[in-house]
Amino acid sequence: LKSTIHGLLAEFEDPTSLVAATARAHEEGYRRMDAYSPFPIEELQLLRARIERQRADSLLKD
Amino acid sequence: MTDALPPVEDPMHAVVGTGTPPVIAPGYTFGSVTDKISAIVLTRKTPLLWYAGFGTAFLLTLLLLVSLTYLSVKGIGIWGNNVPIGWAFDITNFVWWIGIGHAGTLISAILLLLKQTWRTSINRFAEAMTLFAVACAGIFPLFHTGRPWLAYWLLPYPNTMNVWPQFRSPLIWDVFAVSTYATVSLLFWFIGLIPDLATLRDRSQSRVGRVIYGMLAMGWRGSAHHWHRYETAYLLLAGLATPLVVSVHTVVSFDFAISILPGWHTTIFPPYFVAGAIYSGFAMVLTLAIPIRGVYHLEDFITMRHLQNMAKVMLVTGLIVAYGYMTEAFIAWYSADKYEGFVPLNRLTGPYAMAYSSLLFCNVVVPQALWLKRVRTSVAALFVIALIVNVGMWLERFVIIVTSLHRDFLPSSWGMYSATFWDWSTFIGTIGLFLALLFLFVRFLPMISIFEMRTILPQAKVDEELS
Repeated sequence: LKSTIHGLLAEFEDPTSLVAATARAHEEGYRRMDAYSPFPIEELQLLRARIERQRADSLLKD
Repeated sequence: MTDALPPVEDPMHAVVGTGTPPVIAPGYTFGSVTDKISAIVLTRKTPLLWYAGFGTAFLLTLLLLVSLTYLSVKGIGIWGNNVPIGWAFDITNFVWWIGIGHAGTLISAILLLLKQTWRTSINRFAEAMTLFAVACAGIFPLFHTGRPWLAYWLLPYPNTMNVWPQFRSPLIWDVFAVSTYATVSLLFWFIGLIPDLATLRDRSQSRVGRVIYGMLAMGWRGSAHHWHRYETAYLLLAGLATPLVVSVHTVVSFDFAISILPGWHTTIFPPYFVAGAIYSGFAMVLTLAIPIRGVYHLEDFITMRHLQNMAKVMLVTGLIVAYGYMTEAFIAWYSADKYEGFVPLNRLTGPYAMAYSSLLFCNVVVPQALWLKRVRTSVAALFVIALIVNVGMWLERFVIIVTSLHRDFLPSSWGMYSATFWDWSTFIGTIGLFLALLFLFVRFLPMISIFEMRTILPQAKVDEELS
């Protein structure tokens, strides 16, 4: 059986570290990710919007 | 986790020094908020008061069923309505119920757009109240048609009879206003429930509960994408519901204002009706919130801050309503029209003077006590005032409808109205239906929005610097 990593899962204690980890993971080059939270986190949405904007910008440049 | 974070300074939670109670008592965590609210539905023993209350309400609902069945068999002659008083209890109750619903929409839509965090613990059951009140309201015009099985004739649809609704009639505008209101309120309520239904699905111990809550939660997992869609949808619905707070009762007031009848034919009706609607609605929210928070020990979530704020909204809207009464009387005199001038005199001194003076007492005199902080901070006083305002606002609609109709231009066509047993039984029956639905709601759905309560905890704030 070949050992391959399909994904990583991490649990965070508070919204601040979740947002920080998401931003960091994006900086590290991870793109296919999702964040689960028991309530809406505004900063996460802002981050999401910023990432989408960057992606749109880079598409325009190509 | 709170150790890692510096304490969050948030004016909405300000307690120290200001004397303002918080919107949630201190010391709660995400888990304890969830436990406390979901336990009411899932694990806590149903209080005996619930059985007693639901039982009574259910019996009254059966009374409604009997009344409506008898009405369907005999016709609306079983009511006291006559010529010239063609509208009486039925339309009074319709306007009263529709008005009550308005507080729910104001709390959920307008206070959301204004970012008022104190709406958070009361919006869910205020919205439920709106839905049930609209359901009760709808019964009256529907059965007043006399042939409720033909009520679909009110809708414009292509048909072989070539019958088309009269679009110049405000009654048709009402059909659209009220059905739009019911639809938007239902959507708004349900969408707001989805994340909490998922919480109940995940926590339910029984298979039936998991399946039912699971189906209703529609696969909610709380992903960032879900929240994005959720917030977009919720905000759009809030935007749609906001004009409805003003428009629905405006259209209801057109039912009267469009006519030429003295006492009805007045331009002040729309704003005066809307203020009255919000006034009576907040009175009803207080009437329901005070016993609920007592029985289920929710004082930490529905705090004195909520009760005081609602009391202030009641005071303001009550003053607008009082201003409406004054303007009505002033314009009647200032118009120099003897028929118009006769209306306020007839209300004050005519056969229905008791109803008019009671309404002035209930709606204008009593709520002035709310100026006093001592009254606003007394739960018992607020409850009594709220009940009195409920009665007062019902009397207001009765006075507007019956006293205007019973003496119009020609003394030869004057008449009197008195309610029959069936008038009362239908009205009390709808109160039973309303309460029965509320009891079921409180038992089977989270009556306070769980996830919104999590967001107002200090722990929910993201520390900008650390992230």
